[in-house]
Amino acid sequence: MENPKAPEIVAENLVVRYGHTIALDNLSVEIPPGLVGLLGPNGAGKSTLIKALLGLVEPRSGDVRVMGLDPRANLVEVRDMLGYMPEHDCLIKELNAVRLVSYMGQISGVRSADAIQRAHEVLDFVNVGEERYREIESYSTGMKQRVKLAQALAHDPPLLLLDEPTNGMDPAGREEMLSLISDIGRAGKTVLMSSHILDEVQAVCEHVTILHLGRLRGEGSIEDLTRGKEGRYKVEARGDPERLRDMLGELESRYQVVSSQAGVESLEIVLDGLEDGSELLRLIGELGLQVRSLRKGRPDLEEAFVQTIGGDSVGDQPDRL
Amino acid sequence: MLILLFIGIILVHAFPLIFKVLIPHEGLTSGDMIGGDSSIFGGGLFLLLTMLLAAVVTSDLISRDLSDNSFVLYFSRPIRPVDYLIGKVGGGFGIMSMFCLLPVMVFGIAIIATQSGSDYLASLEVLGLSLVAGALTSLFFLGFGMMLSSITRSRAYAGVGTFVSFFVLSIISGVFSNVDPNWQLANPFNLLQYTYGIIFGEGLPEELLPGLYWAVLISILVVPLLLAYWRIYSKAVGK
Repeated sequence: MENPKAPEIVAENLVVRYGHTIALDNLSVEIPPGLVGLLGPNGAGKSTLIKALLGLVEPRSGDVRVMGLDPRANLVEVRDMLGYMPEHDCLIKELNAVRLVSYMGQISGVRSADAIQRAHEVLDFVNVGEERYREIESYSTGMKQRVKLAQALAHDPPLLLLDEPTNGMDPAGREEMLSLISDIGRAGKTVLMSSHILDEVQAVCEHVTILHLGRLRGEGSIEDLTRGKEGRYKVEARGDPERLRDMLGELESRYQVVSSQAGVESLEIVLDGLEDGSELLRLIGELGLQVRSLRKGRPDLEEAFVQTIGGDSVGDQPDRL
Repeated sequence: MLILLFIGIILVHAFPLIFKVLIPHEGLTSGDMIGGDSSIFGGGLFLLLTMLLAAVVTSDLISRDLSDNSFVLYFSRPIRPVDYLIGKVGGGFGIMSMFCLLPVMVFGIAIIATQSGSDYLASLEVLGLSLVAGALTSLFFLGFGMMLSSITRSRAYAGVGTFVSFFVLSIISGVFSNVDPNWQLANPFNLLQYTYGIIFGEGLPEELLPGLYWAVLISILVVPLLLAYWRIYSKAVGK
């Protein structure tokens, strides 16, 4: 789905090096407004891109703009528009949540008289209760994540950068954090969420950007990425391993096998190009194999991600999905 | 830190103030401030407590942020490394001035208020010079302490390192002063005493080289802060 609004973040041929290591390799990407997932394996360049947006690293070449401003030329103005939730443990342990959030707000320009009230407001939003008066050192991981989000919101920035926001949280905490992020997006803020948990990105984000080896490998709306292709089926068969291999060979010759995963005397295959599933059932029956499941396939984000990252070539143009 | 501050103010400032106020005096003189052990800046106790206080104050100014990995919280905000350093120096100066500047001002005002002489201008001039000396003293140990605080995550190491460094310098100075009197400048306490002398118009001892004096003074005030800034800048860019 085309987003008619101007992109919030634009990078053009961005190159960032750490010594001889190329962290961002002529990266060109546009991040639209809204809830955007930043995906990629370790070393893809996600954290480096975030650092470049914050002005924490100096690009070797190329341009990067945040809401029209270059972080190199307008560092203070850009950071004033950004709220950053780091991945790692970074809170000042000797402070309590109220003091930390109000302190961070004041550093960001919130007036002293308003900082305490603002701290309480954001701590209420992230559901930190009476614990806000205890030292952060005594907090659980989930509580620390909430406080990290709160300090990112302290100065009410229009653009948030969240790096693995559910890191270390239990399932209930994750749900709550994702709900908070959705609420933030609904409030009109742009959120760029870096994560390796694809289910969470799929649940929350409207758009994803996929990086790999410092380059853009794919981008698009979640809806476009997970739209089912015509004739896609997912089948799981059980039986003799040799016959399973024969089945796979036969299917590869007739259809487009998207992915296959072998188990103990079982094989799960996703394939495109079928008009209906009956021909598949007939083939499997002829080979003496047992069908465990057969369903029309709608790829989830993980499949789209694996397909994108596992591409054979890294061409000059990113894969457009 | 509060206990050290309280004890220091009582011993260094309160007792001399009480004695001086009770004794009839013409006005505030430079002798009251730098004239021997009974003076405010001349006593070894003042400098020793100042150094101890600086070691305590500076020990966790930056080391705490290092151990908490909280630099990223600061530098994702609209401040630069120099703003961070100025903020930390300002905070440290504020605490140091509670021992080196504010009590000096109170002492001076109390002496002037109870003087029997009429030359208030001369007394006020001494008060002004005392405030300069107090401000310089507040800054003197800060830079070095902050430099050490910026290179270790342990506030204990930073604090002890500050104290031990100055202690070692004073020993080295004592050993080599017999060979060349300019080695006295390596002792931070001597350096401060000579600086007080310059502030109050007494000048440097003849055996010392003025150029060397100024080089050492500027080095101890500026170089540690530059190193601390470099360290902060490196952490800000994720190195």
